[in-house]
Amino acid sequence: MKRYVDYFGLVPLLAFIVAFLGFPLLAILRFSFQDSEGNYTLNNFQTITSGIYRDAFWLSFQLSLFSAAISLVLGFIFALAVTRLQIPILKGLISTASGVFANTGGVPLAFMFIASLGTYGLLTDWLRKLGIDLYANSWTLYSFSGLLIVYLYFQVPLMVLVSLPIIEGIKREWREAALTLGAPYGLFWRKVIAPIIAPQLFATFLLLFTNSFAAYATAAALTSGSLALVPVQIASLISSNVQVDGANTAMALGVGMISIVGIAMTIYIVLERRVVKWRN
Amino acid sequence: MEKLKSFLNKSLLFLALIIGVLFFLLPIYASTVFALQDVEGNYSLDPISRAFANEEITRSLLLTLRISVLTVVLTLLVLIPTVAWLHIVVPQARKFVEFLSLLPLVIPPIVQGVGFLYSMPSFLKSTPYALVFAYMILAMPFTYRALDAAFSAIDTKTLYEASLTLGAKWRTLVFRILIPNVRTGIFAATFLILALVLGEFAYASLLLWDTFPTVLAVAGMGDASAAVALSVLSLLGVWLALNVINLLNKSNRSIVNVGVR
Repeated sequence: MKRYVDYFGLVPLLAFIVAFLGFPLLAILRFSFQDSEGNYTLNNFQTITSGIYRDAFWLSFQLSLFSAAISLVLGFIFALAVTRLQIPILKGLISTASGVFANTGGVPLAFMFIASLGTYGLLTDWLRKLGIDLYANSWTLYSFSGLLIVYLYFQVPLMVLVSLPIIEGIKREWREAALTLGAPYGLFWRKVIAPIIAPQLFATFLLLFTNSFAAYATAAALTSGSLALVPVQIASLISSNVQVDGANTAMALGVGMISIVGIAMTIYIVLERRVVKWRN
Repeated sequence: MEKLKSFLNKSLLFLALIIGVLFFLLPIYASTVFALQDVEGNYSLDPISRAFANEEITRSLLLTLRISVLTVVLTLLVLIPTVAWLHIVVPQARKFVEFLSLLPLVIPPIVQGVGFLYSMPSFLKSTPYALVFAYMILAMPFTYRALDAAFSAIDTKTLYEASLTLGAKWRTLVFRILIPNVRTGIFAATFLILALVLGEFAYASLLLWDTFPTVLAVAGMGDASAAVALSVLSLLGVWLALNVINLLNKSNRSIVNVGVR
């Protein structure tokens, strides 16, 4: 017989989660299916799948896709360089730095890039002296590609943190076995390494995607709302309060975000579990 | 031929390393120069003293520090007993609680903030310290993971039974057996919370509280040099926290953890 008393120790944590995650989540769900008068309706979901809100989802999606893909490649190469070159203390230093960079972001990051690549930024100035005018062709830091560069600053370190254990999981014996048996280096990578790390890399891609999809602070501070990503739209709907059913539309946008992130994270967790099981 | 190939390989990797390091160091260098150089090209620490003379900024920093300390203390108070209980009494419930702890990852911070705004009673919306509860939730996927990993690394149940059989008191069990053994997890959770609270913007701006990130965002409009100086300092602050915690930790296990923003 199960002893229900055994579960009493979990009550504080469960109560806390229900109060501060359950209630907010319920509120979002309920309001997203209501108009501002409290009548039940599906209008909000019609609103967010058309016009500027559909564009916002598309913009957020593209930004997350590009930033995840680019940081996946760059971060992996960087982590490969760090592990393969075997320079003493380098690995410790890089993983500490990555821990810091992956965990910062937001407002300070935006200001650092304004100081570097903004219209009057120092790097912009240097490049201008070298004859490269970044701002000549109507490019700005506050555009899509500018924000993409800024996002790499926390996405690549996250990729490095995740890649280091993946690369260290590639055993020396595998390479030695393959090379002794006469496999060329390229074949070894294609037939041995790729199948092993592909699921892990795909899981990491999803992690990077959701990380950038959910990010708000960096975009808000850098573009002051001019680049209409979904989180930016939610914040402006809540704070401006001019649109009919504005808050309800924001909640529906929230439900949309939760669905997309939820799907990606579910696949991520399933893949991660399989990898862990396989590794042990 | 083989030697040449391996040399080329090494050089390419080295080049990748240099480019990567430059990508991360250049903005820090550029920001430092931008912040500390005046119009004539002279360097001074003026922007930093200006920033700290600004009462709004110091007040917001103090508030953010108090919130982060409270978040650390409350998280440890709630999670350490719960995770210990899970390992000793009901290990079969671990999967379920882990699943619950990951839920905040699925809900973007800005959406959580909106939910908080529309579901909390007004007494929780009238004090910035209610952010502590929000930040406990935001950090939970990582803090729970860190502590659960620490308790998994030791054989919690055996330690518990052995110490009780040997006649240890509860106080001994908790403070001299369990906590010292999971200190890596405690340090990791502490660092993750500090980094998160020092940068959290979504909740604070939605609820209109003057924490360090929201005040910094406004300050940037007025005094760019001071704002950039503070930005570099806050990055240094997170780096310093990580190093201090790593030093205190003394164990070989690194506490660097995967954070999601």
